[in-house]
Amino acid sequence: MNIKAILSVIEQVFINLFNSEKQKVSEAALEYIESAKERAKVLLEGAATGELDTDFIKQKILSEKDILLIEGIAIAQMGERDIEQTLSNVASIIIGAIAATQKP
Amino acid sequence: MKKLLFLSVIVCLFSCSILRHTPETNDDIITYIENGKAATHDLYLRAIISNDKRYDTYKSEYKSIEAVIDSMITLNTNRKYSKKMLLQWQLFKNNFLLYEADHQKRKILNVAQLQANDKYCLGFWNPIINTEKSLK
Repeated sequence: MNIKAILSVIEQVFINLFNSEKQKVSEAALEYIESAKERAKVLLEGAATGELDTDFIKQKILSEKDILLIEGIAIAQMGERDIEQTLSNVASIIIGAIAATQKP
Repeated sequence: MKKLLFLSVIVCLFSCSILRHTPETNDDIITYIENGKAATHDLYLRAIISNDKRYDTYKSEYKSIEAVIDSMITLNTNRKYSKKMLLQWQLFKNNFLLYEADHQKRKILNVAQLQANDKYCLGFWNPIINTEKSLK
């Protein structure tokens, strides 16, 4: 399961968001970057120690897609509609990546 | 020329009215959501530090948080221009119910699983709160 690859895509998007000119969007993006990093850390550590099994991790990676959409709506509400579209595109990439990890 | 100016004003007013199409909020709604976030964090934090990590011990807390989410779904179903916010709550509810069902199925969650659930729930609560606050 390529968790690191998926999370790096998420991080890259938020790094791009962080460069946004709008301060409140940047603040939200920074918050979302840190939040994604913390989630990634918990998953990677739990996977390394064997405390988190594959089913649990898969469930959480699927949650990432929904969190991205919710964050996209939050940012769109702040007035950055292009970013909303970008997040939707990234969500599609992540869904594809998840599907690829689940192939035998 | 006057017609063109008149038309421009109409278009401008129409554009402004579109931009203003956001749901209304108030401090009570924001406080209610923030309390829901705190209750979720408290649930997982208590389970992490407690020796008792059984689902049954935390069932009533899960149900209280579900009630907050359900009431926000009802609110957003009924208020104007809140289609996307309704989607936010529905997505959160779907995931929260999965986390609860997983706890129920496993009966006991270990610390790493509880920590992950806590972080993921915060990942849902925070942008939802940001959305609501941006309406002010």
